[in-house]
Amino acid sequence: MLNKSFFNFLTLNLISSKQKHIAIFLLSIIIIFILSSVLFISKSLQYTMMQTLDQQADFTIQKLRAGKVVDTPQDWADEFITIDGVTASNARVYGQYWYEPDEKYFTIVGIDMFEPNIVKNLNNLIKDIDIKEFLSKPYMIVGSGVKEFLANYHYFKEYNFRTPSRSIQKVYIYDVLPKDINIVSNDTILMPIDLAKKILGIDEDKSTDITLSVPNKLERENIKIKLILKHFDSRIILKEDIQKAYENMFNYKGGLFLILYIVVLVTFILILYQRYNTISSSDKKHIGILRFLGWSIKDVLYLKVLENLIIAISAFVVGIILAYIYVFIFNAPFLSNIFFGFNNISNDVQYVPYIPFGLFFTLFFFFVVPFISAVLIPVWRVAIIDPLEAMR
Amino acid sequence: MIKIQNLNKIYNENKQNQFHALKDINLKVKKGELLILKGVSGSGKSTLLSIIAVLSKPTNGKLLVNDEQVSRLPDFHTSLFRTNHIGFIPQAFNLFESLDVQNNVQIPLIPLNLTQEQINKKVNIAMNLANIQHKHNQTVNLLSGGEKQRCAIARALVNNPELILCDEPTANLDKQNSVKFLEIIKQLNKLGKTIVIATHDSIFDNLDIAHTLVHMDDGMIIA
Amino acid sequence: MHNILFSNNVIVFLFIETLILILQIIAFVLSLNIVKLWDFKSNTSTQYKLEKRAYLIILIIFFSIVVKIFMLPYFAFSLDKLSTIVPGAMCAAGVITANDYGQYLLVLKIMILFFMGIWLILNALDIKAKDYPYFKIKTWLFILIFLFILFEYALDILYYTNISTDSLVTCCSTIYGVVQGTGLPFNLDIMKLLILFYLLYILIIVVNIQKLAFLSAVTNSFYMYIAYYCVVYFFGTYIYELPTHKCPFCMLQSDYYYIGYFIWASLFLGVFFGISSFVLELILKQNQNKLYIYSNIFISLFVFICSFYVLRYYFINGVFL
Repeated sequence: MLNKSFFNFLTLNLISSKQKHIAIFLLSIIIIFILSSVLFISKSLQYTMMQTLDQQADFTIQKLRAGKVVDTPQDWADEFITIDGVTASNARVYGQYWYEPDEKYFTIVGIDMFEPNIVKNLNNLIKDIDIKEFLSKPYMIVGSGVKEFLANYHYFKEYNFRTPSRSIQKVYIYDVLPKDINIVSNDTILMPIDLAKKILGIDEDKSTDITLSVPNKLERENIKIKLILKHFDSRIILKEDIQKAYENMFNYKGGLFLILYIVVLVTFILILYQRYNTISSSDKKHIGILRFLGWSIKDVLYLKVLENLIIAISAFVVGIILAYIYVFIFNAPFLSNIFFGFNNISNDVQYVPYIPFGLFFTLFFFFVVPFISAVLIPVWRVAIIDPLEAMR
Repeated sequence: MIKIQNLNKIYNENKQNQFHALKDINLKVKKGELLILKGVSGSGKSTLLSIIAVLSKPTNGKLLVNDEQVSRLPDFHTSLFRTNHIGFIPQAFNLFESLDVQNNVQIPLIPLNLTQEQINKKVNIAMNLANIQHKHNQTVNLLSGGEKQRCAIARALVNNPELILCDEPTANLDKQNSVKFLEIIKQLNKLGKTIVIATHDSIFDNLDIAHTLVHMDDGMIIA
Repeated sequence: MHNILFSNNVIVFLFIETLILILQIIAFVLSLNIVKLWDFKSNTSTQYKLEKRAYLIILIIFFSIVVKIFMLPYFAFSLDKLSTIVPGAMCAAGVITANDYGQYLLVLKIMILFFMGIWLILNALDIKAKDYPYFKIKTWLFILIFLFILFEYALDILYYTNISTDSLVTCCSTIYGVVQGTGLPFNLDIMKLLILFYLLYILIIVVNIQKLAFLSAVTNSFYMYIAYYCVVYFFGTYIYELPTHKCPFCMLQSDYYYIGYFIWASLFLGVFFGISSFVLELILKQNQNKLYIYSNIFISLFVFICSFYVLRYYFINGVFL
C-alpha cells in the first residue's frame, strides 16, 4: 500500500486542505520551539558547568563553628598533604564583595602566583602574566562583566574597594578575562592572595577553604574519614558530591519545567481533539468517495494517521531547527534571563552546542505520542463514515 | 452472476421514522447482461444499486455475486470485492475537484500493492477507453460536465471490473453528452461487462442493443 | 526520591505510559461492551456498529504496541541516565536492582510485548478471514494484556518512587559476580555452556525448518535462558574487551555503539517467533509457516552478532580473553 501513488495522493490531499492544518502546524512549531529551546539551554549550561566543575579540586575542606562556615586555618593544608593519596593541597581565598549602590556582587578570587593551583583553568588564566609587574602594585584581573560594570560608574583603570577594617584599598585593573569562560568568570575578580585577604577581611594565617587533589577514585572515601578524624569541626565536600548536586539541581529545574509543560501539552491535546473531531462536509465527501471506490476502513485509517504523522513530524523538525538557531546562533535573548536571574551582572553568554543523544528521542516522544493519541479517535470517526451518507 | 433473494432494506428500523426502502426484492442478473432499472425518484432503485455495490447492507435477504454471499462480509473483504469487481459511477460524479484527472483515476488502485508501472498502465488504458486521455493533466474543477462524466467512467474502469453500476448517469448531462455516454455503455457491453443502470431518463427506453428493463416502484419490482 | 522523578527521561516516560494507559482503558471498556454483544451472524445494525467500533480498538492497540516497543529501550535508556544520580550505580544494572520492583518490571514489560505480538498476529489473521473467527479469543487476549498493562503501570510508579538516591546500590560487577562458574545454569563452566549455546542454535534451526511447533517453543524458551547467561558471562566480555566486566546493561550505552539494543532485540524476536508459532498453532489449530522463518532469521542474526565480537577480538589481538 505504501507506494509512490499513495504518498503522492497523501501530499496532494494535505496541500489542498492546508487551511485545516495550518493552525495546528504553527501551534505545534511554537510548542516544540519553546520546549526545545529551554532544554537546549539547560543541557548546554549543564555541560559547561560540568566541564568547569571537572576542573575543580577533588576535595574541599571548610572549618565549621556552631554549624557556620568560618575562615579555615592555613596550616591545615600542610597537615593534609601528609595523608597518603593526597597529591596536592591549596589554601584558597575567595569571597563576595557587595557593591551597595547597585546591589550587585563581585566574586573576588585570590590567586597564589607562585604555587600551581589545583583548579586547572585558573592556572591557564594566569600563566601569561608578567609576575613582577603584576605584584609591583595592587593589580587585579577582572571578568568582562565587571569591567563593563565599573566603566558605567567611570572606574576605567582602577577601583577603590572598601575593606571591613574601614580603609580604602585602591586596586588597578591589569587585564580582562577572556570571554569564552563567561558563565563562571563574568563577575569574577582575580587578585593576589594577600590583597584578597585584605579586602575580604580574612586574617593572614587563615584562608577561605582548603582544596586537595586525590587522583585515585577508590581512595576518596578513606581519605574523607581520615580528614574528619584530624579535625572534627570541618566540613568535607567531594567534587563528586558537587557534581551530583548540580546535576540534581539541573534535573530539578528541567524536570519542573517539563511537568509544567505537560499542562501545555494536555491543553494542546484537547485542542487537537476538538479541531479534528469536527468533520467538515467536504471531508465527509472525500472519505465517502474513497470508501465507495474500494478503500477499506483500514486504508482510510492508514491515510489519516499518516497525514497527521507528517504534520507532527514536520512541525517537530521545523521547531527543533528554529530552536537550534535561536539558542546556539542567537544565544537565546529573553530566555537567557530566566535562567540567570536578573540580579547577577548580565551575561554575554555563548551557549556551547551540546545536545545529548537521548534528548532528541525525549523531545520526539514527548510531542509526537500525545499528538497522535489526540487524533486517534477523530481519525477513526472519519474512517467509519458511511460512504452513502457522504454521497448525498 | 448476481442473485438477489428476498431482499429487504429498512432504514431506521424500530424507530419512529422507519422507512421500508426495498420490499422483498428478487432479481437475477446474468453475466454480460445490460440491466436498466427504471423508476421515479424514491422508488428504491438507488438503494438497490447501493446494495449491489456492497455499499450498504440489507436488513435481511441475500445478495450473491458469483455465488458468494457478499452482503455479509466484513469491511476488509467488501472493500476488496468492490475494488476488484465493481466500477461505480455515482450520480454527482464525486470526483476530487482539486486533483487532476490522472490522480482521480488512479485512486482505486492505491490500496492494492501494485508497482507504479502497473498503476500507470491501467490508468492509461482506462483513460483511453473513456476517451479522456487528452485531459489527463487537467484539474477536474476546470472540466465540463461531459468530461467529468468521462473521468468518473475512467475511474470506474481502471481496475477492469466485471460489473459496472451507474446511478442516474445522464441526470447532469445535456443531450449530446448523454448520447456519447450511451455509446460508451454499448462499447463496454460489447467487451462483456455486466452493466446495471438506475435511471428515469427516457433515452434508455428504446435501446438498440440487447437489454433487460426492470421497473421499480415504491421499493418493489413491478415488471 | 524526588530527584528521580524530576529526571527528564522519567517524566517523559511516565507521561507516555499514562497516555497509553488512558487509551487502553478506552479500548478496554469498548471491548467489554463488544464481547458481550458480538454475534457475527446477525444482520442487525447494532452488529454493524460493533464491527466499526472494533476498528477503534484495533487502532488503539496498534498504536499502543508501536509506542510500547519504543518505550522498552527508552526505559532502559532512562535507567542508564539515572545511574549518575543513584549512588554506586555505573549502568542500568545498578538502577534496576535499586529496589525489588525493578527486575519484575523489566520481565513484565517483555512479557507484555510478547503477548501484544501474539495479538498482532492473531488480529492479522482474524481480519483476513471472512467471518472474524478469532474475534472472541482476540478480545479475551486483549483483556488479559490490559490487566498486565494496569499492573505494569502500578509497578512503574512503585519502582520509580522507590529508588533511593541516598543508599548505595550494587553495581554490575557485584551483581554478576567476578568468579566464573558460580551462578551459571546447571553449574556448568563457561566452555560447556558455550557448546550448549551453539548446539541449541543448530537444533533450533532444524526444528524450525521442520516446523515442529512444540519442540520449537521448548527449545526457544530454553535457548533464551542459556543465551542470557552466555551473553552476560561470555559474549559481553568481548564487547567490553574486559574479562571481568559482566553486565547485560552496559552494552546499551553509547560507548559500545548501542549494540546491546540489537543483541537483545534479535534474541527476543527470534525467541518470540519460535514460541508464538506454537501458541498460535494451539489457538488456531493450523500451521503458521512464516513464523518459523522469522524465528530462524532473528536467532541467526543474534548468534552472528555475538560470535562476531569474539572473532573480531581474536583477529585484532591474536588471542582469546
